[in-house]
Formats: sequence, structure tokens, C-alpha cells
Amino acid sequence: MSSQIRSRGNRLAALFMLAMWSLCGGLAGAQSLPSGTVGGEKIATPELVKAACADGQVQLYTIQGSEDERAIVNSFESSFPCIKVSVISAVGPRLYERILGESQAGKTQADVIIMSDESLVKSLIDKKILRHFNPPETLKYPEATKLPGWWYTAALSMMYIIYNDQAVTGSDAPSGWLDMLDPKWKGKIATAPPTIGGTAWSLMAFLKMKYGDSYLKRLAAQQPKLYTAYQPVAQEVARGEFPVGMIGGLAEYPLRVGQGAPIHAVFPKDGVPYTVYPIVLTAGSAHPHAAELLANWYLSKAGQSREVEVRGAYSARYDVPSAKGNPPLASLHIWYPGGKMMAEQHDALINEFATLFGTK
Amino acid sequence: MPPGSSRRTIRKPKRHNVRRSLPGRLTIGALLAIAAVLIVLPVGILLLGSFLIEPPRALHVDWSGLTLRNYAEVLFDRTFPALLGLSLGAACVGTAGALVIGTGLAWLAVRSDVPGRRILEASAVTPLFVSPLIGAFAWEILGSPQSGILNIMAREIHLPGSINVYTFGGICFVFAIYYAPYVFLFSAASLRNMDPVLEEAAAMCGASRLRSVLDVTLPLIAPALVSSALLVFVLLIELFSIPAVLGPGGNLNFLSVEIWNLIGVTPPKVNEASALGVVLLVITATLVLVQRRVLGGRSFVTVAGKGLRPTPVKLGGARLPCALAGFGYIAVAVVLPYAALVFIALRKSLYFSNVAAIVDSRQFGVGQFAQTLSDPVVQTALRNSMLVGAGTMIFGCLLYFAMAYVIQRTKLPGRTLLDAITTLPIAIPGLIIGLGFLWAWISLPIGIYGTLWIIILAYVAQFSPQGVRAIGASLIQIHPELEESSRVSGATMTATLRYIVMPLAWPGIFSALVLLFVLSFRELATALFLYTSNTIIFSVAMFDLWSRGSTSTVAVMALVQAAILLVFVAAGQAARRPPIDQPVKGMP
Amino acid sequence: MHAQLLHLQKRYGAKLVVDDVTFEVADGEFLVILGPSGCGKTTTLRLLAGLETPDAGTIAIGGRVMSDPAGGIFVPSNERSIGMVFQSYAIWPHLTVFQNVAYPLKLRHERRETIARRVGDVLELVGLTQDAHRSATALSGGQMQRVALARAIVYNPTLLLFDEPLSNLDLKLRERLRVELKQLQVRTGLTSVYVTHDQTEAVELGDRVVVMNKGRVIQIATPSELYRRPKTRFVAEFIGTANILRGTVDTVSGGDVAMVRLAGGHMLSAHAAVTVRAGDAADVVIHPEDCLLVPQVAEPAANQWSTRVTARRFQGTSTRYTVDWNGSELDVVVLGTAAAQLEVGAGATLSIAPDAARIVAPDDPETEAA
Repeated sequence: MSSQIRSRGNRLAALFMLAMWSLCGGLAGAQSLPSGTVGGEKIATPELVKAACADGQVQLYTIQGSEDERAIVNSFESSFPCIKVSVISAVGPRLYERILGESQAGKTQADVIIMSDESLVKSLIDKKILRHFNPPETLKYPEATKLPGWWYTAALSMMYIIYNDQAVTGSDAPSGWLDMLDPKWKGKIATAPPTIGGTAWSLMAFLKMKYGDSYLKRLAAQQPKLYTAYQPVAQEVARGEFPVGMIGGLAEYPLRVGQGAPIHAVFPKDGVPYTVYPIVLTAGSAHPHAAELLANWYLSKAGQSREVEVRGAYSARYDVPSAKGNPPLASLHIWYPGGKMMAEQHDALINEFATLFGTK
Repeated sequence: MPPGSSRRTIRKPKRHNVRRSLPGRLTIGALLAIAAVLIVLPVGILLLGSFLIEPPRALHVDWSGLTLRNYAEVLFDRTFPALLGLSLGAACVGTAGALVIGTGLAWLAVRSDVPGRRILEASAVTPLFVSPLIGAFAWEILGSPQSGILNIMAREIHLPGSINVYTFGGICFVFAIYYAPYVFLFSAASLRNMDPVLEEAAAMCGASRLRSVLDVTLPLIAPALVSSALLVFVLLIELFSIPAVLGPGGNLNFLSVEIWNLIGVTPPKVNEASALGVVLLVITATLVLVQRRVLGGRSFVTVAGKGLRPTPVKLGGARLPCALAGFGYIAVAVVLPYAALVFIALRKSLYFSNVAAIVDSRQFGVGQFAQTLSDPVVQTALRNSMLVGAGTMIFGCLLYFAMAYVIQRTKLPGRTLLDAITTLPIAIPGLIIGLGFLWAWISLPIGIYGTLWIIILAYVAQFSPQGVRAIGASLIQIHPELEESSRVSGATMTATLRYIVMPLAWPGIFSALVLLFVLSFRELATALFLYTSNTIIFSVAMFDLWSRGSTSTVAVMALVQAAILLVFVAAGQAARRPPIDQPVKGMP
Repeated sequence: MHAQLLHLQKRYGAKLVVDDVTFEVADGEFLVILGPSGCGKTTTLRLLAGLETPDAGTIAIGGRVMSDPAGGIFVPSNERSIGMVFQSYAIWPHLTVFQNVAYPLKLRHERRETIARRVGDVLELVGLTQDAHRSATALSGGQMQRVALARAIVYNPTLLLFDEPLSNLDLKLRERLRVELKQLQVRTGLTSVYVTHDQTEAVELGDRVVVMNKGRVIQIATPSELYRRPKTRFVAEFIGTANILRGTVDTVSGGDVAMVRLAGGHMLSAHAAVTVRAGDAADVVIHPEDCLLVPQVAEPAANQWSTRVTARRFQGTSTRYTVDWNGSELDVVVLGTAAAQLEVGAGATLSIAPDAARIVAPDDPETEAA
């Protein structure tokens, strides 16, 4: 009898040990994998996280400056230390050219892409370079900020007016788009033509839609100085070379808030056009799970907060507060041309602008 | 029968050597192949791409897309005449300015008794080290119509008018001052080699000083002037950095920048860019061919002559004004820009609108230096540029030596072709080389795309004219009989190279190494298509930061570049072996 | 070692610079190749050295074929074991005198002691022992030439070649070095081929002289034979200054003696270097040194004629008169500073030594030497 009890006791002990062992083992396993919930928001299933960690790395191609992007993805890496993010940064059309080149060489390197132009993204979709993407946050993104199943915007870039507050004071300051047509600003406006990218195109499309065909004609009569990017516009206004500018916000934020330049930003009540920065996943990528995880994170509250904080951009999500120095999203009347309008009117608007302003 | 000679039969020939100089032919074959891949292939791909609808990325050519449409779009575009006219016009005026400054300076430094002549001669080439990109940055800081430092100061003391660097005149001015040193080098060399008896003969005939300069000196150095003018024109019309920095402010569109812009629009117009690139190439290639004609195929090198130095022309009362003019140029081209950069680098806030704000001592601090130097992008860029410089130097010089030797010292067939191919890159704008390299190399299994190697190779291709000429110049000075006597004494080709040619050519090769490092550190346009954020190089980082408004960082980087190049050149001078004609310390 | 060149040919582009050149150099002989610039003499030397490749013909040194394009043979310079002294001396400026001379031995991997001994020996031979460790650039022209010579002979070459080595030196130095060179060659017994355009050098140095013009060999002979019996007008004019008078053959006597009627109508007895017949046009060569000029003699003898002095040039050790000899112009050289001073316009009696006049072949077509 005692031997029976002893053996049953041994068996129980063994079972207990086994249970403890598997529990510990399970716990240990769970500890080595990061949580799929970040900042209270679930962005990935445990299987995805495990597969992503197995991938171990992800290659991000982005139109955002590499310093900024690095600062953003470092947050991702601290949440997911098992994944290393490499960043390749280039301006939109050149990034696009590079992606095409790699794809034709059969050497696609990018896993995740952040682009600046919906039309370029559409082209990539048509060329079958991208794959479907369905993040968990899809409902948080309003209709005009995504193409369901394909891309969602990683940031919103607003277009508004800036002026040098040492050169322009008080009542002289412009308050809206129609002020730009005031003769006192003739020859004193800095901006960029719609050919430089989606941001500028959206702005001109908005102005035409809102105020009719005559607006662009009258703006042309103001003889604004046209630059090939928004950064020099911000710089020249900050230096006082031009008192006012019509600009994309991401170019002026670092100077205004970051460097304390004497710029004041005006978000016209009539409307603030914006453009999107689609984030997409590539087909046939080498690290598909890590890619998906990174993209999901980017669209989460944590990721969006980081984007806003680093770049001064806006998030499309209303539950992400705006950057320091910027008014809240809800207070703005934002406007977006939409993919259909861009596709139909893209070249026509560019040609019209070129004719009116006498440029390429 | 003549005494002393005996008829002996010739022994049956022993088949001693049937070699048809096989190693020689292999060498030149290899060199031609390398030159073709490095230089001809990228240009060829670009040419091809300009006739296609889809760019030949990764060497995939869609032959069904052959078209002239790209050229039609480019040439018949409404703005093309203005584009072409502006580029040609600015290159012309810039060249004229460079001619006047360069020749005047050369004459002052070599032939007159202007005070401080030696310093003037030594410092006349320093603007070359400034690099056009940094010069453009500095002149933007100095000469923007509203907020340029010079204009602020002028307004303060109520000087009428202002300078505007964002104009045609402003850009031509910057062109002229940074390209005058090329003219200086050519004219000074020519003036130094001039036989003084020619002017003396004119004086004997009764010509006044001025007349003898106009009638004798000028015509004699005319080939050097024409040649350098053509060279400067070609360099200016394909220049990217100055028009890219100073053009937008005045809405001035230049050909070279337009190529870059076309790829920067959405969607990128790559094929039109290549068509425009070909247009530019046609212009530059024509001019280079003309220049070769003028030189009669010789390269214009300074022969270190032991010739008599002609007696300096006495300037008399004009001594001081001429000295002011000469040193004034150095001040304007070098001192003033660097002063502006130092100023910007030390300022905490870049926003000043009057002199009081400029000299406000509270606004100064060295924080910007620390911040810039610890910036990871800057550090990466610096490291990359040093690596690229080293790679270009070493691989370039190895290749250039082999090429220069084959071209000059052998009679191998095909060496004229090799010579022609190595001159080609002068006519090819850096942007074109970069784009061509991108298309040509991206699909090759060697996998250099995305690494520093593709930049190094592009540079080696781009600088082959300078490298082969520089090393060629040092080879020319070695009398062929020095090599022949070595061969007759029993040395093989390798032994001759090792014991005779290399030691004698070494000072010239060393100078070429330094030159190549400087050129590669400065270069911008070529790398613009080839860099990635891992392989970003110093000049590209500066350009990128400038375009994003980080002016302080750019100023610090410009100073860092100046320091590095200065150290390098100085170390190069110090490390040179003593000149050959000094007695060698020997054993008793 | 002897050397043979057979039917050598070399073209530069379309130009034939060496045209069917054939000659031999006997063992221990000092052979000079003489000719004006562009005659192909330097090219011939370089072909012998292996610095150029011939288009046709054979070169053999010491019985070993060095070059034969038809047979596909070409021995490169560094394997021919010849020494060469270049016109520019070709002394390597980055080495000392010692190192320059030691170079060929170093290439042959000789031991240090051997090198030191042999270099010391040749430096002593050329008289440069005390300069052994000076930098090569610190030497004078004459010293550099000696270094070049020392370097060329230090490894006991089978053949020694000279490419106009003295032409860059001044007259006095040239004369001195000429003598030294000849003495050295006799001492060492090295077969030498020497190229020059200076006929004084050629006749002083050469055991035999090969005269070349326009790529072809005109005559090969000892210096005295070239002087006494030039085969063509070109050789006659090149070796020393000669008077060349045009005339017509009047009669031909036995052997090779002919009477020639000169332009002025007077007759002269001359030896014929080529076969002539009565009535042929003839060029007669008379050396100025073979004539004698004395004040007018009333009754000229058989070999004497009356002439009138038209020019007089004092040349230091001699006086050169130009006389009008019945319409023909003739130069006469009178040696000695104390010679009778004939005035310009005075009459003088001309004597021409018997055998002094020779009829030579005209210059075209050029004929090869036997």
C-alpha cells in the first residue's frame, strides 16, 4: 500500500513539475515575444508578432527625411526589439524611380513604402509591385485618407499660409486665401507650382475648386516666386526675402517651431487642403510579417503620435492630438481632391497652371 | 672584300621568340574593355534611353518603344529656347569673366613686379578648393537681395542699390570667380614658358610696354587662352551646383538643373530628362572636339622648364591698384565667403534683419559645431566621402597610370582609341554619368548598386580625363631613352617600370592622387542618382540639408570640408620627395 | 662578336626609312655609320639594338639570329646582351653614378662583391672613380657620357652601340672624348657600331665607314678609301669638302684613266670610279687640299693652269682660296699660316696633283656597296 501511495505521489509530483515546467516555459516564451498591444491598442496577433520577430528585420523606403524617419522608427524598435528597421529615404519621384528600377531588375528591396503621392502609388499598384494591406486600425481612418485594402495615410500634410512676423504686422497680416490676391502682395509671395508633387497639386486644385477659374488667373497676376520645393519657400519667408508664402506645413514646421524662426502660420477658415502619405506593403517582400507589423504600428495611435511629434504633421486619426503649435484637426476645414479627381484632372491642371504662370 | 669581315653563314634560326607582344595586346584589350564599361556603356544606355518610351532600367530595353517623342517634348517645349539661351548665355558671360580675371591675374603674378607676387601666384588657385557648391551657399548668404549680409550692411550705411545674387549677373559673377583659376593655370603656364627674347625683340623694334603686351604676349598665349576658355565654357554649361542653389531664387532655369527637376516631378519624366541630357551632351562634346583641334591633340601641360625667367614688367604707379585688384579677387572669392560661413556657423539664430542683429554678441555660440559634428547623418556622410575619396584615388590612379603609360609609351594598336575614350567624360555632365551608371549597373550580379562602389566607379569614370592627363604629364617628362637604356641593359618591362619609371614619375603621380581626392570630395551631381541614405556622401548631405533649410549645419559642414582639404593638400606637399635635381645624400 | 645585317627594311607609315640595308661588322671592329639627318642611320642602329622591329630582313649577332620577321623571330633588347650609349646619355637622375653603372649587374642578380668590383673597374677605365657616389644629375655633359659608356660595358656585352653620343658636347670636349673612346675600344676589343653625321668623327674613329643616304647604303670602305675613291658624288661631297666640276669625257685610256674636257675648255686627266665612254657627261671630284696655289708663273707646266683669285677666306690654320679656272670655280686650301698671301683679283698658278681628280657616279640611281 505505501508503495502504491508513493508511486502515486511520485506521479503527482511529476505531473506538477510538468505543469510548472510548461507554465514557466510558456511564460518564458511569452516574455521573449513582445506584446501585440501597444499603448492599449492591439495592432497584431501573437502569431504575426512571432512571425515578424522571426523575420528579424524590415526595409523601409520613405519620402520622409532619414533623420526624422529614424527618430520615428526608433520608437517602433523599442516596442519590438527583435526587429531591426533599415531606412532608405529619397524624395517622392526619385524614390518611385528607384523602386521601379529595382523591380525591373528583380531586386525589390523595400518591404514597406511610405510615398507622397496617391497617383504614384496607383501606378505601383498597377505594376503589381504592391500587395494587399488590411491593418486593424482601418476604421480609424476617414474615407478620404485611405484606399481600403491598399494604402492608408501615415500622415496628413496641410497647405496653408505663412508670413514673416517681423516684416508683416497686425492688420496687414493675411487671414485667408483671398488675401493673397491683394495687390499689396504683388511680387512678394513665395510658393511652388503643382508639378512638384501632390501637396502643391492639391493646393492649386483646391483654390480652383473653391474660388473658380479666375483665382488662378489673378494669382498669376500677383507674380509669385515659384520654387521647386517647399523648403526654400519656408526658408525665404523665414529670412525675410519674401513676406508671405503659400506652403505645405511639413516644410515650415521645423523652422517655425523647431528653430523659432519668425514665421506665423495662418490656417484659412475657407479651407485647408491636404495631401496624404500612403503607407503600403510590397509584393514578394523578403520580410512580409515584419513589414505588416511595422505598417500596423505606424497607423496605430502610438505610431501616429510619434509621427506628429517628430515631424509636426497631422494624423488622419482624430484621436491623435495635433503637434505643438498647430491647431487641432477638428478645428480645420480640410479638403482633399481624391484619387478620382487627381486622375482625371492631373495633367489638365498642370498645363493650365503652366500656361497661366508661364512656367514648366 | 672589305678587310676584317669574314663571310659566315647564318646558323639555322632557333625559334627563339615568336611572341607578338601578347601581354601587350592583352593589356590594351583589358584597358579598352574597362574604359568601355566605365565610360561608353553608361553614356550609350542614356543615349538609347532618350529614344525609348520606357527607360532602360536594369538594361531592359523595350525596343518596341523606339520614338522621337522625348526629343519633340523637350525641344519644342515653350520654355526650351529660354532654357537653352540662359544656359549658353550664362556660360558665355561667365567664361568671359573668368578669362579676364584669370589672364589678368596670371600676367600680374608671372610677368609683373606687383608687390606680393609670389603669394598671389600661390593663392590664385585657392578658389578651386572652395568648390562651386560652397561658393554658391556662401554667396547666397552674402548676396540675397533682402537678407544678404552685404545688403544689410549696405542698407545700414545708406549705400544706394543692392546686390542680388539671384540674377543672371549674380550667377555669372559666381561662375567667373570660381572658374577663373582654370584660366589662370593655363595662362600662367603659357606665360612662364614664353621665351623672353620675343618681347625683347619687340622692345628693340620700338614697341611700348603696352604694345608689346598686345602685339607679342597676347598672340603667343592665345592658344592657351582659347583652350582654357573652351574648357571653362564646357564646365560651366554642365555645372549643376551653382545654378541649383542660386537659380530658383530668381526663377532662372538652367539646362543642367532642369534634367534633375524632370526626374523630380510627379510622375518623373525620366526619358525626357535623358533626352535633355543628350542635348547637353551634344553641346559639350562639340566644344571638346573643337578644343582638341585647337590644341592639335596635345594636352596642354606645364613643362617644368629651367628656362630663363623674363624680367618683370615694371608697373610703376599702377603697382598698388594692381595689387589691390589681384588680392581683392582672392578676398572676394575665398576670404569673404568663408568669413560668411564662419559667421553663420557661430550664430544661434539665423534670422537677422539689420546690422545690430548681426553683431549682437549674445547670438554667437559654438553649439552648432558640436551639434553638427555629432549628427549621425553628417558623420556617415563624412566617413563615406573619405572612403570614396580613398577608393577613387587608389583605383583611379592605378587605372590611369596603366592607361597613360599605354597611350604614351607603347606602340600598341588601339591606343588612340583609348586616349579618345578617356577624354570623353569632360563632355559628359556628372548628372548624366550618374543616371547612366544607375541604369547600367543596377541589374548586374556584381551587386554594387546601393554601395559606395558604384559611386567610386562613377567617379573613376568621370575623372579619367584629369587623371590620365595629370599622370601623362609626368610621364612625358621622362625621356624615352631612359626607359630604352634600361631595356638594353637587360631589364624586362616590369623591372623598367619598377626601377626607372615609377621613381621618376612618382612626384607627378602623387600630385594626381591629391588632385583626385580633392575632386572626388567636391563632386555633387554624379552622386545624386547613386546615393542611398546609407551611402550618402558629404556634398550630397550638404545639398540636401541646404534644401531643407538647415543653413547652420551646412555652414559648419562647409568649414569641415575646407579644413579636410587643406590638411590633405598640405600633407601632400610635405610628404613629397625632394625634387630630383637636388643632390642625393650619398655614402662616402 | 661579329654582327650581320641582311636586307633590312623598315617603314614608318608610307615612308621607307631603311631600304635594303646590308652590311657586316667584324669581331672587334669599330664600324661607323655616317650620313646626313634622316638618312636612316639611327633607325638602323635601333633595329640592331632591338628597340625597333624591322619589316623585313635578318639581323644576327654572334651567329645567333636576333630578328627575322619572315621566320617570326624577334629577340627583345633586354635579351640581346648589347650595350648602348644614347645621344641623350640616358643617365637615370634618381640614382648615383655607382647605381647607374651597377644597374645591369643588379638585373643579372650578381653578388654584391662582384658588382662592387666590376663597377669599380669600369669607373676606373673611364676615369670617374672619385665620382662614384655623386648624384647623376650633378655631373657635366662629358662626365655623363662616361657614365653611359661605363654602364654599357660593365656587363661585357657582345656588341657596343653608339647613337651620336658626342653631338651635344662642345668642340674641344668632343675631340678629347673621341680619342678616349677609340683608345678604350682598342683596349677592350669590343665590337662597336657608331652612328654619326660628323665626317671628321667618322674618319677618325672608324675602321670602316658605312655611308648612308635616304635609307640606303651608298658605300662601305675604310676612311681613306672613301676619301680617295668616293663612288658617288654624294659620298665625295659628304666626306670633306670637295670641288665637283662638270665636264665631258674626251678620251679613255687604258685602265680607268680618262681625259675630261671641263666647262672652260681645258682638259684634265682623271681616274674613273665607274666605267665611262667618250662623250659621257662626267662629275669630276678634286679635293681642295690636293691643289696647290702659287703666285702666277709665267710658263705653266703640264699639270698647271693660270687662274685668277676671286675670294679668299682665312680659316686659322689654313687659307681657302676660290679661283676662277677658265670659267669653272674651284676651291683651293693652302695650309700654314705663313702661306704666300695671294690677293683677290691676282693671278695665280694652279697645280693639281696627279691622281687627284676622280670621276664619280652621279647620285641617281644610287648603287649598293659591294
